[in-house]
Amino acid sequence: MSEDRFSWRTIVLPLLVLVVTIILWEVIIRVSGLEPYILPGPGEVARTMWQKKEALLGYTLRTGMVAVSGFAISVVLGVVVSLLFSQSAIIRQSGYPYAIFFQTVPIVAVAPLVIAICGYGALSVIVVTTMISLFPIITSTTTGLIAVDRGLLDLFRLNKASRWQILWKLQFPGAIRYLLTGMKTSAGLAVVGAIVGEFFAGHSSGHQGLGYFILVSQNQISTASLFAGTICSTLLGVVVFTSVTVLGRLFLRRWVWEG
Amino acid sequence: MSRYSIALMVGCLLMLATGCGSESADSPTAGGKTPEGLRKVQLALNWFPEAEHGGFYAAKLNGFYEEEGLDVEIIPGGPGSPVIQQVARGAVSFGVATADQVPLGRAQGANVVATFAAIDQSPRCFLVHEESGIKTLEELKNVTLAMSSGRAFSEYLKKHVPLTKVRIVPYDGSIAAFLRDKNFAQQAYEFSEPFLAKEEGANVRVLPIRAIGYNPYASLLITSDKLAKEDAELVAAMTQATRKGWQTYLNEPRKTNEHLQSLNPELTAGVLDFGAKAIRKLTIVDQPTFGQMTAERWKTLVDQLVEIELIPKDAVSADACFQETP
Amino acid sequence: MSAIQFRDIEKQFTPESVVVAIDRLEIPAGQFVSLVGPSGCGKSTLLRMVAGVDDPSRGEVTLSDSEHSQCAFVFQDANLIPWRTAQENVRLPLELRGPVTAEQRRTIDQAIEMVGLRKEDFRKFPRMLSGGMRMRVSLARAMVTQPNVLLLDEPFAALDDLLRNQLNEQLLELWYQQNWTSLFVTHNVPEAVFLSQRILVMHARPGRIVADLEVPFEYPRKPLLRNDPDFARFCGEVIAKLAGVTLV
Repeated sequence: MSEDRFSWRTIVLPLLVLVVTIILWEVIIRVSGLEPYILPGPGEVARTMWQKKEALLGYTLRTGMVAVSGFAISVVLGVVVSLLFSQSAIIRQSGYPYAIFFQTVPIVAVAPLVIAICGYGALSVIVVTTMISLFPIITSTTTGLIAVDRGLLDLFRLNKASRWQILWKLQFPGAIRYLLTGMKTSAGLAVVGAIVGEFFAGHSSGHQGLGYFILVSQNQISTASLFAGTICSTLLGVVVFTSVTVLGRLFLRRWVWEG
Repeated sequence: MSRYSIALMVGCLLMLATGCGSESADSPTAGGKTPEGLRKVQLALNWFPEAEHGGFYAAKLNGFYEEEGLDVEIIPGGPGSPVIQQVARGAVSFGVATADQVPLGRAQGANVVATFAAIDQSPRCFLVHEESGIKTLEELKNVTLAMSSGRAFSEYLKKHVPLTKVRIVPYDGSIAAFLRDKNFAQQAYEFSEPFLAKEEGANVRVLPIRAIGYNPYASLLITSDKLAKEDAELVAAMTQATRKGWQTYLNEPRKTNEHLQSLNPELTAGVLDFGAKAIRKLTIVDQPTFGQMTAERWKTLVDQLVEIELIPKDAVSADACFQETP
Repeated sequence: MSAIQFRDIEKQFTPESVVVAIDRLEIPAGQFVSLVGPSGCGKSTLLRMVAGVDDPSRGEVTLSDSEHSQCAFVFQDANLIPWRTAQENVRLPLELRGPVTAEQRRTIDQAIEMVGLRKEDFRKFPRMLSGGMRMRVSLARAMVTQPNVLLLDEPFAALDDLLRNQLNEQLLELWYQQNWTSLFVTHNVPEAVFLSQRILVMHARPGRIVADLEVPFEYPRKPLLRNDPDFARFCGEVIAKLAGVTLV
């Protein structure tokens, strides 16, 4: 799987889709006569966003901080777990099914446990974020660590490389491009995780994020605010994803070459 | 029993956001007739079937709706059910809601109107442990308080009680955290959580929010302005039958409770029995005015919502929120 | 003195099938030997056993225990690490042996220059190099440890004739200088004849040596040798052995 080369198209085409979507949105509103409390128009949502811009920025930044923290922990933890998995088929085979646990566990079920251990507030939200964003890191990195080029492995064995050398000079660098793929999936999930985490544990006094805002808007039947919050969370997801991609291009080019 | 399971709500939000959570506005929910000549009508609940919906089910079970020529389909709700929105746009003819949602909806252009109030006194309350020594809401301090942010009652509490050293945390729908911690308080309904907490051995004290002046009606029958105007006969019939249903339920809840339990297996016979009795105390079922609402209380509610800035001043007229039971 | 000795070697991957069986084979130090034979005759397996990556199921392969005795391997494709530059790829075998000294760093640069890469190519990644250049880097990587045994597993098979001939000539030049004991596996008979002093013809199922031929041409060999009628005749002989084998 190779990604498209970066060019003006990678920016202009999505923007075009955005413009078309907004036009379509407006058209649907006008044609269908959907009431604004069901689907507010883009203008109304934009107005709401402008009116609440400072509050929304605060919420978004707080959620963003938590999402990025949880994401960073996922990356570190995911890589550590993958390294363990790569070192022993027995550990991998016994641990992998439980790694899937993180993917399928309903957060509703574990939220009380997380809160009981970590208390209400940012820490619990970060834990929930980590639980949601960890799995893609583990799967992709483990895959990368195991999928070693046979020829290169022969080369290392021929030179009497130690297991440690094979891990750090061959398996790990080779897995970086897989790790980056996992990180891109995980980046979006981290934002979702932070918002879901905030639903349960997040809005203790003064630390409210987008999850709180979305809940409140929903409780107050304020559909325009709900959309504004949703758009902010989407934008946050885009920012986190793009940052991962750009940082990947800047710092990991050696390991994540194109073509 | 979990009242607000938020993950489900996320799903509902998404459905709402994509506009496919409710049926098409022009579906003939109030028009069709069954072979027996009954008129088909849908009633959307605001939660999974439980004691606060007992009267609606009793009306159906005892044939009161049929007597009025109605074939009522009761649609159970859940977390985030957009009842107000669905009723306002006519996707369903009737719904069940709490009074504060009516002005909130109207402020957004979702014009719904209440025609019957089953529960006269608000069952909304807060639970504390007796060990905390807290006896009134004003004394609520030095505790962790779990409640849904942004809801009218929680905003009202924040505005009217100092809440010194009270840490407000999200409400996750369970009483697990409450049971663990003597310095924990949480939102609840009088007809449900107090029973569950006592069953688990907690010395629970119930602090109703109406004690500090916030007292919206509950278990309202609502319909859209449009239907109320265009088909007053249907609305009157529905209201009458619902009233009879509630009278029956509050006086003889056993049969209906068994039915509720079959619909919502998570409920125990104990909590339903307790719930029906607790609700009865909050109603005026023995009085001839049962189910009726007063302009004065609606005005108070609207003023309170304006005061806590959930609706703009003069955006909603209290008189438009309800209709006299015919 | 023999650099490599095979004694009653048998290699099986499953109990039923013997992949390669060699009773006795001795390769003197410094000799350039080519192994030719059909696919599946165990040529590569033989090489891997010498390198110590595969162990024989029976018998043993002995390398002369001179103090510097060590093997280097040149693989079928260049087998370079994609995230390392040419220079870093060549450095790898030394890195794996311990911290790289300043002197070794000079050896690395020399090795790259010797295989004919220019200075500006040192910092290029394999994907930026042509197939021939990649193979040169691979060769430099094999040389950098100063091995006394060089094992080449069809290194030039993927290259076009012109490039192959050119690299063959350069390989010989390097061999004159370094005097490795060379084991060269190939499908290409003229290549084997041009390069080696001795050709081992192998037969498949089970893999065994059926002919051991001395190549009657003097070193240094010039490119024009390939046009010599004697060269063609000798190639014919090898091909006949090979064909005979295949027809059996």
